Amino acid sequence: MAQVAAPPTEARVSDRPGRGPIDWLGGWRTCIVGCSVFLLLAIAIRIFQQFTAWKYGIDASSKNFALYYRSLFIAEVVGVTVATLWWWGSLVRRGRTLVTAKISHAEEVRRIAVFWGLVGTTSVILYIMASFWPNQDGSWHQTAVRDTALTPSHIPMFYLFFPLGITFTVGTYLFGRYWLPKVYGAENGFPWSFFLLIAASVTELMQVAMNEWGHSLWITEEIFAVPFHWPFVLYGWLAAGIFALWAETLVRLLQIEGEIEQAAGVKEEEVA
Amino acid sequence: MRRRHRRLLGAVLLAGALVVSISPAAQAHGEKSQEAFLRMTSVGWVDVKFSQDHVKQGETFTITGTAKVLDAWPTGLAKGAPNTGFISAIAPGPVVIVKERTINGVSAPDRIDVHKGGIYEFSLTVAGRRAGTWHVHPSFSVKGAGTLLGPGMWITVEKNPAGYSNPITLDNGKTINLENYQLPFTWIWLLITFVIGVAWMIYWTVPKRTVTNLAVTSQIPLNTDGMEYGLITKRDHRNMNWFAIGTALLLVVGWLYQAAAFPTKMPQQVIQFAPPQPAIASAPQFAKASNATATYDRGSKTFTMNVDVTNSGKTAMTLKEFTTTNLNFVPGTPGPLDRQMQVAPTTTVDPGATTKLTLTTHDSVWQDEHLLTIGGAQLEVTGILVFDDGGGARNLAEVQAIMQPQFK
Amino acid sequence: MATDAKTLELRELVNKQYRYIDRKWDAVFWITAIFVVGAAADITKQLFAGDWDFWTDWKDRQWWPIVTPFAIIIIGSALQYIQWLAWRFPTGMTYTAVGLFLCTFVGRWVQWGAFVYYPMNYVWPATMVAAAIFADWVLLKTKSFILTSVIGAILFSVTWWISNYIPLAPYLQPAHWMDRIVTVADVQGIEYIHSQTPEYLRIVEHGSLRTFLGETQYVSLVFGATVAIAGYWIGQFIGRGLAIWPIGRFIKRW
Repeated sequence: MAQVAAPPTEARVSDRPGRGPIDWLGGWRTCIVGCSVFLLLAIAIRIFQQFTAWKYGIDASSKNFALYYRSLFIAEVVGVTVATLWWWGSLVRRGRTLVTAKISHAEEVRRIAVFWGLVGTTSVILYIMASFWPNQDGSWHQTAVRDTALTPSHIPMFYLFFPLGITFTVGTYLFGRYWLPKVYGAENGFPWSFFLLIAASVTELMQVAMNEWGHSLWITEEIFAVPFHWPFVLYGWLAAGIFALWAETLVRLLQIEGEIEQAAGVKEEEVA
Repeated sequence: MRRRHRRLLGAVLLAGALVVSISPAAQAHGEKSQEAFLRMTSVGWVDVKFSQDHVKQGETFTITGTAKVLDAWPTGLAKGAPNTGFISAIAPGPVVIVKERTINGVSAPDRIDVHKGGIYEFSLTVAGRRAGTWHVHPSFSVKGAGTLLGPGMWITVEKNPAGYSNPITLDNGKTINLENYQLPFTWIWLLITFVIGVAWMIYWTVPKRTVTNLAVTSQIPLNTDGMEYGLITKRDHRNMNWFAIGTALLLVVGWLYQAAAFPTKMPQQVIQFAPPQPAIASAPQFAKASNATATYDRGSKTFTMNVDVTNSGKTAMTLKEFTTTNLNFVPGTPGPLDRQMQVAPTTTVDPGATTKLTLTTHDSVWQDEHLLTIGGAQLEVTGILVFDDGGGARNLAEVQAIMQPQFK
Repeated sequence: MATDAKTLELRELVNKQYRYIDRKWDAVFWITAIFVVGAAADITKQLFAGDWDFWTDWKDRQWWPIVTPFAIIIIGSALQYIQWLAWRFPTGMTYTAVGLFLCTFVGRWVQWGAFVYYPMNYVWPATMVAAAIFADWVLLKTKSFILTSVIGAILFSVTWWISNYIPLAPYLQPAHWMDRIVTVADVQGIEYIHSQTPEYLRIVEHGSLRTFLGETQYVSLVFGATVAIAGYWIGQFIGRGLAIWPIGRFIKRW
C-alpha cells in the first residue's frame, strides 16, 4: 500500500467530535465568529454614538468633537490599516508555504467551509456599510447641519466599514488563492468573480471622495435621491460577483463528492 | 453557555436597552463650518427673540424676528436669484416641533416665494417634545443655497408629568395624537406581509434542499421547472397558487378596510405663495450705509468697522444694532442674545448729514465663529445696521465692508 | 412513454445523499446571503427613491409610484435569475423583499427612531413583499424572464402600490392646521422638523396644468409599471452579467 504523506501543518481538519470540517464549531466556526465580530463592532459604535453624537458631534470645531470623534476617526483609520496589512501579510506568508501541499478531501471541504465563512463575513460587512450606516447617515444629515466630512455618521461608515469591505474582499481572495488552489490558484489567472467584488469595495471608497467634494461644491440641501449619490449604487452592483464565489466553490464541492465516489468505486473493485 | 459569556451578553443587552432612554444635551450646531460669505451675505437676522427658555413637553414658546434676503446676495448662489424659501426651526432633530408659522402676518405652512431684498417678519410657535436642553435656532432655507441659521438659544424642555401627546384635529372633527396615530395598524400590516414572505421562503428552503440542486439545474434548460425530475412538483404549483390567492385576498380586504375606515382622503398639499410686504419694506428709506471697511486685530480680538452713514430723513436717526449672520451687536447693555459694541463718535446721525461711524467690538466671537478666516474665498463682512428715527420708523440699512486682512 | 435514462439519473440526483454536503450549507448560504441581498436592495432604494420612502409626506401620487417600484425591482430581478438558474426556486424577488424589509426595519427603528427621534408613524418604510410574491408566482407559472419582465413587473408595481396605499391611507386624511386643510402627512412633515431638508425639496405633485380629471394617480401607476419593466432588465443584467457570467472565468493578463 502506498505511504500516505504526513498532513501539512495547515491541515487542521479534526477528528474531535463536533469539530469536523462541516461542524458548527469546526469548519463553520469562521462564519460564526466573523459575522458576529463585525455585527458586535457596529452595535458597539452605535451605542457610543447614542451617548455622544448629539452632545459632542454636531460642532466639528469644538474641543469635545476632537476628543470623541476625531480621535475615533484616527483610531479607526490606523487600526484598520494595521490590521488589514497584518492579516493580508499573514495570509500571503502562510499561504505560500501550503499552496502546493496535497490535502485530503476532508481538509479541502473544511477550507471551503472557512471560505464560505469569509464570504459570509464579507456579506455582513457589506450590509453594515450599505444599509446599517447609510440609514443613519440619511437620518443624521437631514437633521443636523453638515459641517465637516467627518460627521458622527460618516466616521464609522466611510472610514471604518468601507475600508473593511476592501480588507475582506481582498483577504477572501488571498485565502482562496492559497488555500483553494484548485479553484482560485494563480495559474488560472485572476478570477472575474473576485475582480468584480474587489472592484465594488474599492470604487465605493473612491466614491466617498467624490461625495464629499460634491457636498462642498454644490452646497446642497440634504436629499438622498440625487444623481451624484448614484455611483454608490452602481459600484455596489458590482458586488454581485459574490454569488459567483458561492457557485465556484459549490462546483468544487460537487467535484470533491464525485472524486470521493470514484475513489470508493475503485476501492470496491479492488476488494472485489 | 459559560458564565463569562452569559455576563457579557447580559451587559451588551443592558447597554442596548439603555440606548433609547438617553437624552443628552446638545451644543452649537456646527454652523461655524459654513463659509463665512454664505452666512453673512445671504440672509440677515434682526430682533430675533425667544419668548421663554423653559417649557414642558407639549407647551409652546415663540420665536419671532425679521429675516432679510440681502441685496448683497452673491451671484454665485442660487444663480444670483433666490426665489423659493422656507422658514423653520433648527434643533437636534424633532426635539421641538413647529406648531404655527406666520410670515408677514399670514399663516405660511410650506415654502414661500422670496426675492433679493425681501423682508420677512416671522413668528414661529414651537412646542417642546423631547425632554432635555437643546440649542434651537430659527432657520431660513433658500433653494439652491441651503439652510441658514439665525441666532440660537438654549431651550430646556421638561418632562410633562401628564405625559406627552401631539393633538391635531381632522376635518371630520376627530382629534388624534400625531405621535402614534395609526402606528399599530401600520406595523401590523407591514408585519402580516412580512410573515407571508417568510412563509414563502420557508416553504422553499426548509423541506427542500438548496445547494445540491445545482447538480441537476446545471444540466437542464433555463426555461424549464424540472417537474419531471422532482425539482418543482404539481403540489408546489398548487400551494403557490394558494399563496397568491391569499395575498390577493389580503389586499382586497385591506383595500376595503381603508376605504371604509378612512373614506375621505386627499393628496399631499403643496402651498406656495408670496407673503405680503411688511410695513418696514415700504416705509420711507432714510438710512443708507456706504464706503465701509473693516479690520480685525487678532491680538486684542478687536473688530473695527468704518462706515459712512447718510440720514436723508427729516429727524435724527439712532443706530440700534448691527447684525451679521446670527450675531447681534448693540451699543449699551446687551440682552440675552446680544453682544456689545462701541460706536464712535455717536449713535445719532442728524437729518441730512453723512457721518463716518466707527463700530468696535472686543469679542473673540468673530474668530470662534470662523467668520474672518483668511483662507476664505471672499473677504467681506456683510450685515445690517438697524436705525430708528425716533418717531417709530425703522430702517434696515445693509452694509458690506471690505475686509482688510492682517496676516500676522 | 418510457422514462429515459437521463431523466432517471437526474431524478436520483435531486435526492442524492452526499458525504459532506449537508443542510448546513443551505442554512449558511441563505442566512449569510440575505445580508448582502438586503443591503444591495436597500442602498439601491435609498439612493434612487429614498426620500419618498423615508417620509409619509413624500409618498405622493405622482412620483412615488414611479421611482420606488423601479428602484426596488432591480435587485429582486437579479436574484430571481440567480435563484431560478441555480436552484429552480421562484424565490428571488421574495427573498429580496424579506431581506429588504429586515434591513429597512432595523434602519428606521434604530436610526430614524432611536437616533434622531422621528415618530415611527412618520418614517415607516414601504413594503415590497406582496408585490414580490406575485412576481415570483409569475416566474413559476411562465418559467420565462421575458414574460416575467412584462407581466410580473406590471403586477409587481400595481400590487406594490396597493399594498402600500393601504397603510398610507390614514395619513391622507384632511386635517385642520394653520388656517388650512392639509393632510395628516403634511402636518407630520411640517411639525417634525428636518432642518437640512426644507419643505421645498419635496418632489411631489404640486398642481399641474392638466390633471386629466383626477386621473393623475392612474397615469402614474401605468408609467410606473413601464419604468419597472426597465428596472427589471437592469436587474437581469446584474444577475446575468455580474453574478453568473464570471463563474469559472479568469483574467489571464492583469
